[in-house]
Amino acid sequence: MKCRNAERAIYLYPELNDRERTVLDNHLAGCASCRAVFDRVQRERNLIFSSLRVREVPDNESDLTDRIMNGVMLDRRTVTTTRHAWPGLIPSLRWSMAVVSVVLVIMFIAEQRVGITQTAEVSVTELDTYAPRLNSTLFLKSLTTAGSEVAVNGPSLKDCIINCTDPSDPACLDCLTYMKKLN
Amino acid sequence: MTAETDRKLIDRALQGNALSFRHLVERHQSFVYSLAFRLVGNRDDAKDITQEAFIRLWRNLNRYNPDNKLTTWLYRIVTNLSLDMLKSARNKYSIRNPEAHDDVPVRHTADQYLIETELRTVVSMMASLLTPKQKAVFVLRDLEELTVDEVSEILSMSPGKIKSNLFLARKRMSELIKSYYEIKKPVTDEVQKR
Repeated sequence: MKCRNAERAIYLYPELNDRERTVLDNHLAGCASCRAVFDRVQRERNLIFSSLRVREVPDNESDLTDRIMNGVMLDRRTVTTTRHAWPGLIPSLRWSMAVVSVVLVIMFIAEQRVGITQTAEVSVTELDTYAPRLNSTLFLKSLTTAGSEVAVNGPSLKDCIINCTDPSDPACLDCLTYMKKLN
Repeated sequence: MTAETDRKLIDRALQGNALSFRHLVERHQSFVYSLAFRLVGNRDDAKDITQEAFIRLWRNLNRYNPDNKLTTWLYRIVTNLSLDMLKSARNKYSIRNPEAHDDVPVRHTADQYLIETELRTVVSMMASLLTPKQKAVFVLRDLEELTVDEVSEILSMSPGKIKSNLFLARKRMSELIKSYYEIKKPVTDEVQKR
């Protein structure tokens, strides 16, 4: 064995097998410098072990146990919630969303029916009577789109049309402009 | 009354018996804490690691293999948690300033107490200068006195790599102790003379 190979073996002396140990021992017997290194390393090893052999203990074991168990219980609840509550919650959520969807559809249909009723309140005949200059189809469309109580510069659309007997009247012009916009 | 085996306590804990798990905690927490302290060198961090280790144990209790010792499993959990902490905060934690040990079981004289306390602090500080892997190998092999095969299993490293890290760790410690004594020897001699 050469000195440069001996260094690793010296530091790993406790891990050497019998054959490796014999080889090193033979080298140390004939090499004073490696022997000195070996002795120093053994002394340091003892020093380290004696310095750090004492096991640190928790200052308050009971508190530490409580802290650990609190953490475990908290984790258990979290895991339970994650693993079990969600699969239970998802079907409920699905049913709730289905109910909400049905309600929305019903509300939409109801709204449509109300719109038709309101449109029907101002019949084509009435329209022709009150505002012969306006296209009745256009008016119906505006009501369906904007609702029956759309304000045009103050008065409602219906009032606007009813009062619009003179096309040169500024109020009537506003009404016509609005109708054009809707178109 | 005969103490229940870890296996029995685990079986009961698996059935939802928290008290059985508490008994397991009480039985092993000191060992877990002291191992964590040796690895991270800081009491607060050691407590955090101890708590996290038992939470992980609780979560994975159903994967416990009764053929293995519970302590082996705990060694693995604590070492991995400590390594993560050392790697993620190498400059922040106790690397530069490890806490001194309080307990001194053998006190001959006040001077000896001083020397022992100082040595303990100094050696702890030196150990904190090792890389996380070297420190883990050093603590498990030289302080916990586990076999190379056990360390290899805990760290999931080959025995060859364990030995390489062990060699580097011991050599580094040796160099640090040597330089410390070169500076400190006159002072130590003076304390011993008094």
